Amino acid sequence: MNSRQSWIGFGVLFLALMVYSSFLRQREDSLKLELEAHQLVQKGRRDMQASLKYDIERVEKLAVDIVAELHDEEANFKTLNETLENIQIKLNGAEELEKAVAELQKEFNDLLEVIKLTDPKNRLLPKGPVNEVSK
Amino acid sequence: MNSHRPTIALLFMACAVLLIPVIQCSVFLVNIWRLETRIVQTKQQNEDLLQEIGALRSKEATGIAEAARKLGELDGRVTRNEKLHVKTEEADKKLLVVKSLTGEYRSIVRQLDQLKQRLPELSSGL
Repeated sequence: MNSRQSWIGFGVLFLALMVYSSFLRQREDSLKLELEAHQLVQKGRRDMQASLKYDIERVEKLAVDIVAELHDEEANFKTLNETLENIQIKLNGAEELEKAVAELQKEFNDLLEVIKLTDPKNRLLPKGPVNEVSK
Repeated sequence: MNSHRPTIALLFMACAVLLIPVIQCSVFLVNIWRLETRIVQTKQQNEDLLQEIGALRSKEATGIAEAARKLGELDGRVTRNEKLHVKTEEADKKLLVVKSLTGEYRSIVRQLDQLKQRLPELSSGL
């Protein structure tokens, strides 16, 4: 191999290395872009993950609030129920009282009629407003 | 010996010139290897994130369904309490009427007693 061939070989090798280097540079750029794309996807997914975690936290807090409200309503229900029961107990004697009042009204009005007939000047009537009891 | 010196010098120069693209290629290869490694890691992390997002979505859906169920229950209890409240108010009104009736009853009894006390007087007057 003479000197000329050696220089041509050197030149070819140099050119080949430069071409390969250029190819590697392009490959590196391409990989950089690919990595950037994957990192963007990752950022989006991390944002979505954070958003979901926040939403779950809110939903859980809401559920806790609802449970507290449920307990309050249950306590309210018990109180109302007790009040109603007490009123019902008091009202149980109302019918008898109504009958007694009706009988008394009748008796009172009869008596008043007798007195009015026998005592036109109303001397016997009690002091104060005594009128016929309305039914 | 002297005639070989320029050849050797040229050879060294040629080697030095060749070294530039070789070093460049080495640097690029190392960078490419690093980038590929990072891409693989990022892809794996993205896959993990995707799975985690799926699990979180499922958890969120379960939480929302549970909250909606509890909200429905709360709504039912509120309605029941409102009805009970109305019932209690009505009973309370009835109780007021009963109290008024009791007062009336006592008043009649009192007046009746007064009249009964005067009955002998009326009899004697007649």
